[in-house]
Amino acid sequence: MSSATAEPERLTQLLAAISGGDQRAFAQLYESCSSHLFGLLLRILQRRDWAEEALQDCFLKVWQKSETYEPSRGAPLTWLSTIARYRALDLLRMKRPEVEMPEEGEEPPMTLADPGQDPVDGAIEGEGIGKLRDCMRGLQDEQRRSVLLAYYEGYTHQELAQAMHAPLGTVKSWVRRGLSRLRDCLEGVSGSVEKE
Amino acid sequence: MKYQNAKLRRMLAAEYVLGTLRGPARRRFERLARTDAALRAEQHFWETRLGRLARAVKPVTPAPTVWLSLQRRIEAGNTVPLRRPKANQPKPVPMWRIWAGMAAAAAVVVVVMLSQQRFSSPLAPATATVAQAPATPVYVAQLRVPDSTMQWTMSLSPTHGQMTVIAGGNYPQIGQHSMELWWISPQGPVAIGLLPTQGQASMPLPKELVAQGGITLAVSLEPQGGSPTGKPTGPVLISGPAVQAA
Repeated sequence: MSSATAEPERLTQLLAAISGGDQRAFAQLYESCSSHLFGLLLRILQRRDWAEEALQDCFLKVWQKSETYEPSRGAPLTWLSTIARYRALDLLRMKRPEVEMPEEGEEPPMTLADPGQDPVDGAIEGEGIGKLRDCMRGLQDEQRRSVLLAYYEGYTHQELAQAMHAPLGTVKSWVRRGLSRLRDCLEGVSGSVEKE
Repeated sequence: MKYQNAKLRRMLAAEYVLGTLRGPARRRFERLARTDAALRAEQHFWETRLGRLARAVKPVTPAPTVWLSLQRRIEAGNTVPLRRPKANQPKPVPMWRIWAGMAAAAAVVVVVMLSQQRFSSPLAPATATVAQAPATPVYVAQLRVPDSTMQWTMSLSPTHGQMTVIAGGNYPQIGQHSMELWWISPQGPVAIGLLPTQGQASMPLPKELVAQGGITLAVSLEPQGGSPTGKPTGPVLISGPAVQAA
C-alpha cells in the first residue's frame, strides 16, 4: 500500500492548505493520491484517455472545493475516491454508447488496469475495511457480487444483468437486498464513523 | 411523493453512492440532497463505508502529461476572475501563447543570425546563389511540451556534429525525471542528450546521423539521468521536424 492510505492526517493537512490556495500542497496531494484514484478510474472506465480526463476533473474539483472536505466525509482518500467515482459514473453516462457491452455468454471485459487481478474477489480481504468486510461476508453470494461489480465496474442494473446472466428484476433485488442487509449490519456498530 | 418514504430514501441514497442510480434519477437525487440534510447524511453514511472498497484496486501511476494538463487547466481557471474582460475587450492572452510567440520570434532570430553568419563568412563563395543547398546545412526546430510553457529552440549542424538548444518557459516538475532528446532515424530513435530546463546548452550530435530530406526530433520523459536502455522508455512528450534554415 502506498503512502496515501497510511497517512490520513497528512492528507487532511494538505487539503486544508489547498483550500488556502497552496499549490505545493496540491502537487503533494496529487503525488500521494493520483495513482490510487487512477487505478480506480481505469477499472471503471476501462479506457486510459477517459480515466485521464476523469482524474483531471477530480483534482480540479479538489482544487476548487477542498474546503468542503470534513472528517465526517471519511478519510481523505475515501473522500477523493468518492469524487473520482462520481465523475467516472457521469462520464460513463455521457460516453457509454461508445462502449460495446459483451454479448450474452461472454465474460465481462477485464480491466485495462490490471488484467491479472479481480478486486471483486480480493476486495473484502483488503486492509482497513474491518467492519465492512465482515458485513460483506454476511451477504449471499449473488448479493455480494452484484454490489461489488456495481462498485468496481460502474455497472448499471442492465449491465449487471448481462454480466451475471440473470433477469433484470432479479439483479435489482440482489442489489437492494444486499445494500439493505449491509446497512443493517454496518449500523450494528452504532452508526459511528469507523476510525481509520 | 416517493421521496417521503423513509425506506425508499435510504435505498436511493445507497444506490446513488453505489452508482446504480443513473440518468435523470441521479440528477434528481443530487438536487434533493442539496437541501435535505437527512438525505445527505444517508449519502455520507454510504460514502464513508463503500469508499473503502476503493483501496482494493491496484494503484496505476498516470502519465506525467496528465499533471501538466491539469496545471494548465488550473492556470486558465485562475485568470478568469482576476481580470474579467469587458464585453468588447479581447480575451487575455494565456501566458504560454505569449511564450510561444516569443520563442517563434527567437527562432526567426536564430535563423537570421545563422544565415548572416554564413553569408558573411569569408569561406562562403560570394557567387553562391540562394537556391543552392549549402555544404554545411543548419536545421532549426522548436518543440514545446503540450499544456505547458516549456519549450526548446534548437539549431543542428549534422555536418559539424553539433547542436545548440535554448530552453524557455517553465516545466511543472512532479517527481524526479529527465527529458531526453531523440533523433528519429530510419533505424529508430538515437539518443542525443538530456535537455536543459533553463538556459542554453550545446551538445554533440552522433556522427553517423545524416539528415535525409529532413530531421525528426522527439522528447521523451525518462528516469533522472536519462533512459537506462538507450531507447526511449517513458512517454513521448512532443515530436516534430527540424527544418533546414541555412
